[in-house]
Amino acid sequence: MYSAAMLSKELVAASTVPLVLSILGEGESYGYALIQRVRELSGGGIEWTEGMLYPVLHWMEKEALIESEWREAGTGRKRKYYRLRKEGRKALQAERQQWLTVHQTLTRLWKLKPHLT
Amino acid sequence: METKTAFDLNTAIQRWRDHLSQSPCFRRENLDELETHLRDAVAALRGTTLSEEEAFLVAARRLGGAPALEPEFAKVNGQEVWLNRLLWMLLGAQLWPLICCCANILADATVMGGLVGFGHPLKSPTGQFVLLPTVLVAATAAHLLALGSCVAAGWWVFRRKGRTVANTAASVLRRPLFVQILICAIIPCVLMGINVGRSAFIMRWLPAARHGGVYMSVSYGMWLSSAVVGPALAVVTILLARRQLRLRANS
Repeated sequence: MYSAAMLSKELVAASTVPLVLSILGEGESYGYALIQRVRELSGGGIEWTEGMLYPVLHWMEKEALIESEWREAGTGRKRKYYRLRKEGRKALQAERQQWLTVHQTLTRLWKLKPHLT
Repeated sequence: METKTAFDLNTAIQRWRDHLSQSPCFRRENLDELETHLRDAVAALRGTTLSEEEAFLVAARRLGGAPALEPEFAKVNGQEVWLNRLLWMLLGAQLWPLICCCANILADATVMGGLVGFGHPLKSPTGQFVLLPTVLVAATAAHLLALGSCVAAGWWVFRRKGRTVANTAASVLRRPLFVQILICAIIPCVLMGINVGRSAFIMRWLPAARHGGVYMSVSYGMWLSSAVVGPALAVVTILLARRQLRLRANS
């Protein structure tokens, strides 16, 4: 079913890695904050579930794109912080190129044929 | 009248954690991370008009229960899931012969003991062992009955006393390795002793068996090979069980 408000499951799956890489590109973060940040940036359009995000983070860690560290936060609670690694920065560049290509193509298409929208 | 006990967030979170830790899909670190997430969510919801209990219920519900989280975590912790399955396969592969062995001993003791006790001739006047139809029927029935009751007894123990069995196994697994190997060595030794006794009994009463050299050597060969394979499997099972227990400790 296509609905405009929420992203399809496939698109959520495809965009998770570039989004995580981009947010971590701004600085280190943890799971809960990542979900909040994506919700905020997308205006509620992208709603990540914990069950989806954490396994992706662990997979990215295994692939050496990111690294993690347990550290005590200001609240006294221990949190697992993730940050980009060198491989991750390279991956971010590649993802950026690819998504911009898709974006440009779609933008041109839609500008040429506005009746499609 | 219904009494309402005070809500304790830590107890509630521990119970939630205990529930998730039943699954092999989560490592201890996964649970630690999910717990901090849950606590963050509870703290954020507390800022609204919700009570601590309500905030916990909403946060836990949003996080999703084990059925929602398991398949996703199983993808990254695939090795753990398979090792856990392997552990159960190994346990099953060793428990089944154990049950069969117990059933055999039970049935043989009943039939042989009964026949000898009632003065039934197990050998013909010429000294040759004759397969008497009554003995055959009695032995078959006794074996089936014994196997059935051993399986039923095992089933009952696991259904009714599952928790006690699990706790006992866990406490044994926390002891040094040699204690476990010793315990695992005693059981096959006892069974083997009974089996040797049984063979001696058969040799004494059924002279035909004495001439069945090929049969006897095959059967001894099987014992010898199982004497090597059995303990090896037991040690692998113990090591695997210790590993799984260590991974889930304090989770």
